[in-house]
Amino acid sequence: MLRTALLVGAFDLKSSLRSRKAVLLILLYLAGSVASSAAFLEVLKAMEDAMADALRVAQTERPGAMTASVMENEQLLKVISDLVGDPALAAELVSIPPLALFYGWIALSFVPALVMLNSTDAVAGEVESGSARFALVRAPRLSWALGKLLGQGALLVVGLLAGGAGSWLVGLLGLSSFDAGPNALWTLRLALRAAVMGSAWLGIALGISLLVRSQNQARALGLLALIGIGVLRQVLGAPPVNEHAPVLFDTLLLIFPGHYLLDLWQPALLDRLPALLMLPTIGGCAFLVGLAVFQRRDA
Amino acid sequence: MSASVPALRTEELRRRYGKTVALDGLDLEVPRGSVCGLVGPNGAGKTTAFGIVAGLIRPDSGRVDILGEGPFDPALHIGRVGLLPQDCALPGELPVRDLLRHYARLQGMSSAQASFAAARALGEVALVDRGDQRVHQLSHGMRRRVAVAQALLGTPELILLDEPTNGLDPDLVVMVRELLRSRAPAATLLVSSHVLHELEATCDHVVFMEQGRCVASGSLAELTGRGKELVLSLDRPAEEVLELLHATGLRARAEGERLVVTGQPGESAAEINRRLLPALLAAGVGVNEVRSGRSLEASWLEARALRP
Repeated sequence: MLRTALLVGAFDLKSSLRSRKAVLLILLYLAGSVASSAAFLEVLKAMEDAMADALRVAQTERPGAMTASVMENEQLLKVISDLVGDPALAAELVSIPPLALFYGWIALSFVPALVMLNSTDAVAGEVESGSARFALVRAPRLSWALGKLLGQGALLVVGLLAGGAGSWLVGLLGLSSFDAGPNALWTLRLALRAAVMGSAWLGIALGISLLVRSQNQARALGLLALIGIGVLRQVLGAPPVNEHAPVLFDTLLLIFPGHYLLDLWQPALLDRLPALLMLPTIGGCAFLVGLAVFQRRDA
Repeated sequence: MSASVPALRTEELRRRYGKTVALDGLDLEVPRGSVCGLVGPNGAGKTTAFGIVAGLIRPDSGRVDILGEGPFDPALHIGRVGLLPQDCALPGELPVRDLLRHYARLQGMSSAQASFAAARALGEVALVDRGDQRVHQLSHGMRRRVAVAQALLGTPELILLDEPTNGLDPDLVVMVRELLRSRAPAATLLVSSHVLHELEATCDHVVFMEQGRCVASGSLAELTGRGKELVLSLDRPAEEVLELLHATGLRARAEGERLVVTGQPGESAAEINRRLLPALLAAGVGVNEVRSGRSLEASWLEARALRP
């Protein structure tokens, strides 16, 4: 089973990388991170210039030096600690190079949308066009679907790494005090954490794709799920609703990927563990629901 | 597997799509080593039958027995059943050779075996020089040939081909026909097509389907009377020569403009001819055409007409 799944996954990734859609997606990851990183640097530069003016010192040609000092400031640590309600997490956040921190925030925020836009038609599209039939006469459905999940997962990682590399390059060229090594390491770490967040959404996307036979239906359902899950989580977590049955609603919130967003930033592995375990589990469950239907229906 | 066990048997196969009945108790038997044609109008259920046999479509009820081993089971039949589905798009992003290699690897072949099988398949459909092109860069006819090639990859024992020559030019139709015939009797082929003269040239066994049921089936010779009766086109109405043939002991009847002549039980077409032609020539009857048996088309129309 694993051999077939790996073959299907590798083929899916190879095909995706040669398709216009996937190239577009990776360019989107890259352009998005480059553009947002560049915009971040502009904001940083404006802030540093304003601070330099206020302090009556010379402005720097490239931003970064002043921000690095600010990030080490105790007051900032207190402000962030109050904001996130967790001193350890705040200490972790200020220890991350600013550009990597920004990349991580962007990646974690947008990975659900990118996954749902890209992967919901991975199976439904092939079933609709009939190309799945060429493979399904040679591969058990479970292995084939698992292979599609692996292929889309690999594509997600490629996209996130491409985005991270773009962001890092912008920092290298645009920041005055840019520690290439730590930045690369943090960007890589945060890309992988975004991939963990993506795993939940990938399972949901593939689950939807396994449920329906039409590419358009899958995309529409994917979009609906993206919006619906986001809105429902906000509603269940909102005090006026939550206070009616806090235990029930707090328990329900555990199945929402967004619930684990802050956990992914935690410095200690033990604190990140719920997110690292639950996000792939949520994705896995959604995938299995779709697979159960796919196993019983026409391909 | 014993040669007496059919390569494919279905019993009482039923499948509905909402209110539409696609298969209504299909009983089918395809002898091992045969090239079997599946004939039927649009909506007869041929494609559904192919899908069910290949494990892609779930039947509502009924039984399928592939190679005497039960219904399609990936663990048993991957690599042993080849399928050319109808109107299905091949993945278009990768070169043809890579695509065929991938399918061969899914069938369980090693990398080297898959490369060899892909090269051989490309050679069989005369696409060696197109192996590095992406599928979507190929013409419709070339894609169809790639689709045929993937169905023949390796050494499948049962090959299901839904409209294999659809969209091919006449030269390629001949090429594909020869290719398919070359696979029997090592493999059993089930071929569906609307082009009856094409099936007639390819198949040795035929199943007529209509409204999800088998209307008639048997060897091509049985269904068309090939080898047992002669069909003649004459220079005058067939009715006029019936009298002449009484003396020969041959049984004759007029079917439109054609004369259909049957011999004694067990008498071959050649033996019938030996008695028939001298009698006709002696009476000065001109013979425009003699063929052994009716055309598949005529047999099909007859089978439909006889259906209750």
